[in-house]
Amino acid sequence: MCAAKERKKPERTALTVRIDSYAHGNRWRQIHPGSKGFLVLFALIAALLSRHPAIPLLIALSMSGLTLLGAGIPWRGYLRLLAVPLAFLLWSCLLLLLTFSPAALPLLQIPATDLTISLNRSELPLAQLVFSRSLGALCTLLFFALTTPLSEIAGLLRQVGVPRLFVELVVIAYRQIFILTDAFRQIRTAQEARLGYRSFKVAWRSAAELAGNILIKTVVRARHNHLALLARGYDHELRFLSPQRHLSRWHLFAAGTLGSFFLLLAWQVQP
Amino acid sequence: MNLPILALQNVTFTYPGAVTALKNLSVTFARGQRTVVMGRNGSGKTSLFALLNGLQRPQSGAIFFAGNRLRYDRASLLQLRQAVGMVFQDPEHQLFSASLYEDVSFGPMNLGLPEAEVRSRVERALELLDLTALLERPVHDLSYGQKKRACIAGILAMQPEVIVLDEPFAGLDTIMTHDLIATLNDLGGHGVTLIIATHDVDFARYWAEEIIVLHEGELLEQGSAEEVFRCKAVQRELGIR
Repeated sequence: MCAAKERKKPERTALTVRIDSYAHGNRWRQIHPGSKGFLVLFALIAALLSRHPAIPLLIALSMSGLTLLGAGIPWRGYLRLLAVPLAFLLWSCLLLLLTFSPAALPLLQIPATDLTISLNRSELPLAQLVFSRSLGALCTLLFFALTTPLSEIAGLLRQVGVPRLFVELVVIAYRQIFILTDAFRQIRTAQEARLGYRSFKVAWRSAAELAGNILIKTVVRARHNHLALLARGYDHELRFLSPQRHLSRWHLFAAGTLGSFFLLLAWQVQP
Repeated sequence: MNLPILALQNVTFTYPGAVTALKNLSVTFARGQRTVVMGRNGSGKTSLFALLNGLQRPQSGAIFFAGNRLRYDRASLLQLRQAVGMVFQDPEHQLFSASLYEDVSFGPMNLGLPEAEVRSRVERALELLDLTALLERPVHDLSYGQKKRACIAGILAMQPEVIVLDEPFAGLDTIMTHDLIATLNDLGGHGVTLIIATHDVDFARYWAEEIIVLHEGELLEQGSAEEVFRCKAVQRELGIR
């Protein structure tokens, strides 16, 4: 027991694992994925079609509010999840503003060339719009990912008629992620126990061996998985039922209203 | 009642490109009986189980289910796999979905049952194995023992006549082992034929009605615990002092 407890503590959970544990243990877990999906779809369309940058920002703020206050996701973890894509987003919007034309606001003269990196003011509205649209979409998707476990999202996709093969892949890949990280951890621990990472050179070799081992394990496991599926009557189609969730009319109505409100704003508000 | 539910007749089976796993093996499994299959690692237990479920085909010899020789077309195989449920040693190999409910529903769905029937079977199986409280948790969050029970639930939901378990107690602690044995006994009480591969001599001694001991793919001994463990060759083979 003690060993198990100690093992869990120092590990910094990977982002996917953290998303997964929030998805399984938030206050809005019991809400039918259909209601959540409905809202997400509307908000996503609204955020991406908005012409005024304030609208997606409003959507981002509302969806974050729902995630933090509604579903009760801790804000610290939320910000950490948001930080990575946000950094990418800021960086790419910054690049949108840069230009080599000397007409704009010069920033930096590249030595020994004629090139000047300058800030293009006229691109500012575009950068703003791209940033806010992406942020709106990001917060909306994060809301979905943090309140709904992936197997329920897959179930929803199946119900709305997404091709079978795609949904099956989602279901299997989702399960295998955790099996793979487990295998990874086992091999890595075994290597560390034999000082496999004591120097840079050794570490490289160990990492290569780890990758090779994972590949072999994966192939062997795939064969076992296939046999086990066959043993239960698998016939080239993964047939299963998802648990039934109560679809509350009130939730659906609330999702529809909020979603339509976003769409209306996106459509009506001009820059 | 007299007809064995499963029987192998002079079965020889070789994995492609490997050594012969079973050699001219003839064994029978009586209906409703608790049978334990023993033998050292590599003695052919797992191969034997793969044959019983139709996962592998013997190169020679015949296998009979309830007196009928196994056929390997799709419909016959599905029928066989409904009747003979197989619980693999490693639950990670068996559980394909991260959702417990979805995984347990897989077998009955393959039988082509109506949705209501599948749901009621899934719920009954989950309840019987004490998994209902864990429904909201993802499979990767369950303990090893819980995963094992999930695998058994997935088989039970198919309502098989025979359940074959490959080393079900490996990796379980004593209390979980006792719980699992109680569950198995319960199933046995309902007329399910149980076939278990294990290395646990004490368990075999008190639980099994029939013991089969394999040695390098051949039958070393078949009989009641008393008969089998009296045999010197068996004692040597299993390391009983």
